[in-house]
Amino acid sequence: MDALWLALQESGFGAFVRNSVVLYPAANVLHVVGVISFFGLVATMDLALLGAVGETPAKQVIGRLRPFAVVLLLLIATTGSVLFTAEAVAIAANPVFQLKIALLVLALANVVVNEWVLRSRGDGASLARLTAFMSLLAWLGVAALGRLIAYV
Amino acid sequence: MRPTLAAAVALPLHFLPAQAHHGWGSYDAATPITITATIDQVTIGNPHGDLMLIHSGEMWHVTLAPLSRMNARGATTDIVKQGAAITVHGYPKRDGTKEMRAEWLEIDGKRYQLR
Repeated sequence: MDALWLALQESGFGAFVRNSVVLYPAANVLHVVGVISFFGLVATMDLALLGAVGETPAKQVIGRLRPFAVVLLLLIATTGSVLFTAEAVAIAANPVFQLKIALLVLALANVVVNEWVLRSRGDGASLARLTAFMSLLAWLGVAALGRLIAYV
Repeated sequence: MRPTLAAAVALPLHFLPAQAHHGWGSYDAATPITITATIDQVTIGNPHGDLMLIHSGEMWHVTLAPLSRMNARGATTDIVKQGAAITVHGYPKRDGTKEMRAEWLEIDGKRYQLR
């Protein structure tokens, strides 16, 4: 893997990211703004499942918001990849980054479980509420660990 | 060809041990130091620039500002370049590693404030 990260970092694109006055700061800003927007949608969906935001059925809330959340997640992943490329070797070796990716995988697996529960048992199932709660914790954790990468 | 060449030139700096940067708390702001030397290696780029200089027989790693700020302060690649005589004022690592974050640079009598 190290060879891959080194190749990525030392690629023409890696050099371009490091030498760009606009791209790196723009990716940084869009990454953070993307995370805030994404979590806003995630929290709304999860709180709907937990019964904390009124009468609209959680399934309906999720049906409306999830497509936007997916688009934002793609934006976050894209801009995050730009930031990663600038110093891929060091970031890949960073324990906080590794923990963040592990938690990200868990958060995504939780989405799959959540979707399965919604389809098979409906949005009132206690397992649906559990996945909503896990989702809130996991995504907040991913965001917090992301911010910590630069300090380790 | 040009990106490859730039990457080859930039390569040595990425193998430096001191990659855990930012966290200003790891630098001792209470005991600033000033070093005058010749620039041994330098990269100005994102997320921040780095330069290497030899002082009292030891290699120092100096952490610079992000690219956009370096440019805004006039500390561009044609001024902060290999072989240039430089004075750096900044804060050394608390753990004793030969690394500092620069508060200002002085080249050819002109001071570049990086904070």
